[in-house]
Parts: sequence; structure tokens; C-alpha cells
Amino acid sequence: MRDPSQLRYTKDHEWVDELGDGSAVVGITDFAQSQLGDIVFVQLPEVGTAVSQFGKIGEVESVKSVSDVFTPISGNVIEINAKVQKHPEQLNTEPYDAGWLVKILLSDMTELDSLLSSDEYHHLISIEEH
Amino acid sequence: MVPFAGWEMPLQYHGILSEARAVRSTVGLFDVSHMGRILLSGPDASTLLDRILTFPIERLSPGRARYSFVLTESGGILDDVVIYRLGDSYRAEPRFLLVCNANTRETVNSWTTNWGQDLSQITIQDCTHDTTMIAIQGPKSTELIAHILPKETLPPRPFTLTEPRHSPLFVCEASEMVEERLGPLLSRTGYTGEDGFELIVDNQVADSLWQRLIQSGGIPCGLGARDLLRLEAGLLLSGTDIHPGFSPIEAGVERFVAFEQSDFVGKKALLFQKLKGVERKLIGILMQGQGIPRHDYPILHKSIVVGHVTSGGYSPTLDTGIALGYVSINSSTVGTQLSIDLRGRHVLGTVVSLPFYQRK
Repeated sequence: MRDPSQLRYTKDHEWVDELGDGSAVVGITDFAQSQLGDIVFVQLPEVGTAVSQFGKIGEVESVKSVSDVFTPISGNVIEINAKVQKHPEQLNTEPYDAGWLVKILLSDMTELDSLLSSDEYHHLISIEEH
Repeated sequence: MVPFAGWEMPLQYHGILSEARAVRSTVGLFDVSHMGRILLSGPDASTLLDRILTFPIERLSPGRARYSFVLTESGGILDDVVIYRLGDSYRAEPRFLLVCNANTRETVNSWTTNWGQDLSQITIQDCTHDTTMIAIQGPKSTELIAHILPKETLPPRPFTLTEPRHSPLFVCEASEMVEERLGPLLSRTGYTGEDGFELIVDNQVADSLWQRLIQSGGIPCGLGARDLLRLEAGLLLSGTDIHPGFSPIEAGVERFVAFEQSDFVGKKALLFQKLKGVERKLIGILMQGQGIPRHDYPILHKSIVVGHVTSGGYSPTLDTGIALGYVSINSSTVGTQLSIDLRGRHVLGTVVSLPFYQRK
């Protein structure tokens, strides 16, 4: 089980979990999934795709809207969550665990420092909600 | 809460998909008070309705309802409506209720006034703001209604109605005639494709009625679920799938036009169109790949744009995208392979006959 307070965030509501081995897992936040509503389709990049920080890597489609997913970090896509493509509702129920989206091999670890901390992200969404 | 045709309405209570699934499996509740409710009574009421509806009103007996259209003079659809024949008044005069869409209520009001200008023995009363309308939809509807009204008062078949006046839902001041107010009226109608009822009551009893329905197991559902359910059932949305730019023939709903009856507004234009043939048709598309078709997305046949989506969405019952749209007549045959441009990605779909879903 991931601890959301230990993750880094983007202002576009993605989270990233740096694993010890030079890779990181990316997903969307609980705030994002609650804004989207029932998620029905997830479009992910192909394994092997090179990605740059804040570039679009996929789409999350809910009953009422479509949202682009942007990568918090640059690198190479080494794994995608096939399970969530078959069961998109997991993105709603477990956005930090079973609902993870892609695993990326980092090309520049310092990028993580430029992202938001958990406190900074929660401050951001508390403003957005009012 | 979202704005809808001048009203504030819930898009969802708990979740659009869970609400839609609740209606298909048990029973859901919808506050549909935004719809127009216009009472017409008097000896000239039938004459007026004959003029503006595509259905011959003398075929409607007390206690029955029918789906019909109000057309413009050029045969376009001004609105789709349900016309109910209530019990005759104490003076043995016919009484009708016209239920129309929220966005067209003012148009329909003006339409009835204009086309009834020469008729003196008719009373037209817009009861929308004094009444509440609640839809109870799903396989467990009859069980739920039985908590509120006795079994004998339930309309026995689709498109029948009763007026259960001997119930706590009946509101009447001592000085009023019984039929001056609308309600309670229970009809076996709905917009979901499931068995169900629509209940019209005076505003005074609406809150307690809603609470009792929830306490008895009804699941509140919002606009999001309502739109998915009606789309699955192949039911059209006024202003989107049908509007004055299209005729009932183009919209594939010609069966609701009684051509053999005496003159109605728009009849001449429709007869001419029947003779000439139409160039486009409203079709249903079942998506073969991932992604949800949405309003205005282009529809392609062999790489050429042949139309656009009017209504589209995700069908929880079929677990794929579904859409309605007008396409060129040559691309409208059931079984035709089309594709829809989903924000740059072309996804295959097949033309299917409506409805997408039918209850057993």
C-alpha cells in the first residue's frame, strides 16, 4: 500500500513514486479521480516509449469527460498497468495502488525535486475546491 | 448540481454508473419536475390537440397516454411529448395533460395559445410550478410504489394512468373544485426502458413523498444516469437528437405520425417528404473499440464524413460506447461499418437497430 504523503505530485494531479532502482511509478490522484467520476477507459503509451517531463502520455476517459495524463518525469516507459486497462474502475477505487498507470525508467532524477510535496499538493487542491 | 433548462439539477448523487445500474437491477428515483406539465380542458381541447399533435386525439380514452410530436409547419420536430387523457371533468368535459420538455415549455405554451386562438371553450393551465413529478424506474418499481399507494390504484399496463384521489397524496382546498389542481397522477411511463411509473403530486406533499420513497428503498438518480439509460433504450432527446431541423421521418420515428387522421400542423410538409424521400437518417451506432462517442464527433463511412454524433455515451449495460447521429441515407443501413472520430482517433462502430437495450 502506497503512502500518499511520501509521493511527489504535479499541479495536473499526477503522483509519482520513486522506487529505489532508478524507476518510478506514475498515477493520478484521488482528487483527480473524484473530479472525473466513473472512469471507463484508460489509454496508456506503449512500453518502450520515450517520454519528457510534463508531456502527454495518455488519456483517462470518464462518463462525463476526458482528461489528458502528463508524465511528471522524463525517461522510458518500461511497464504499463494492463489490469487497469481491463478494469478502469480501479482508478476510482484505488488511485494510489491497483490504479497505478505506468512505470518509467528515470533519465533525470533531479526532476523529482521540482515537483510538489504532499503538503504543497494538498494546499493546491484546497484552493481549487473553494 | 448543474444548470439544466433554467433549473438546478443533480448530475449525480452517488455515481452515474452505480445509479444507472441500480435502475436496471432494482429501482431508481428521479426528480423530473423540470418537465413541462400543461393541463388542457374543455369541449375545444380535443380540437386544439388534434391540430398540434401527430396523433388523433379521439383515439385516446380516459386513463391512457401516448407518445407524440408537436411539429412546425415545415414538418420539423418542435418537441416530443406525452399526451395523457385524464378522467372527464364533473361537467363531463375531456381533460388532458401534455407533458413536454423543460427547454421547450415556453415554446409549447405559446404554440398552444397561438393555434387555439379561435377556440373559446378551452382552458389551458401551465401546472409546472405548482407540481412535482417523480419517476420511479426499474424492475422493483411496483414493489416500491406499493409502499405509497394501494395496489388497486396502480396503472396495469405501460402508457396507462390513474388519479388516486383517495390517498394522502391528494391536496385540495375546501373552496376548490377537485380538478382545478393537477395531481395525484400516476402513470406507467418513463424514460429509461424499464418498467416504472411517473408520479405527479402537488408541491405540498412532494418532500415527504420523496423521503418515503427513499426510506422504502428507492435509489436517487441524477441527470447523468438518466441520459445513459434513455440512450441505451434508444429514446431521443429534444433539442439534441430531435429538433425543428429534422422531421420524424428523418429521425426514424414515423410510426408515431398518424397520417390518416385529419389535418395537423406539419402534415403537408411531411407528406411531401415521404414522396420525395429523405437524404439523411438518425441511426444507432455500437462502438467496436475503446472510447466514448460524444456530441458533434464526426461519423465516417469509408473515410468520408457522412454525419455527426448527436448523443453519445458509455453504456454500462453493454460495456461499450453507443451513439445516435444523423448520417447520409446511403450509410444508414443496419450492419454498415462506420467509424467515429474521437478527438483524432478513428474508432470503428456498427450501425444497429434501436433500441440498444431492451428489457426482457
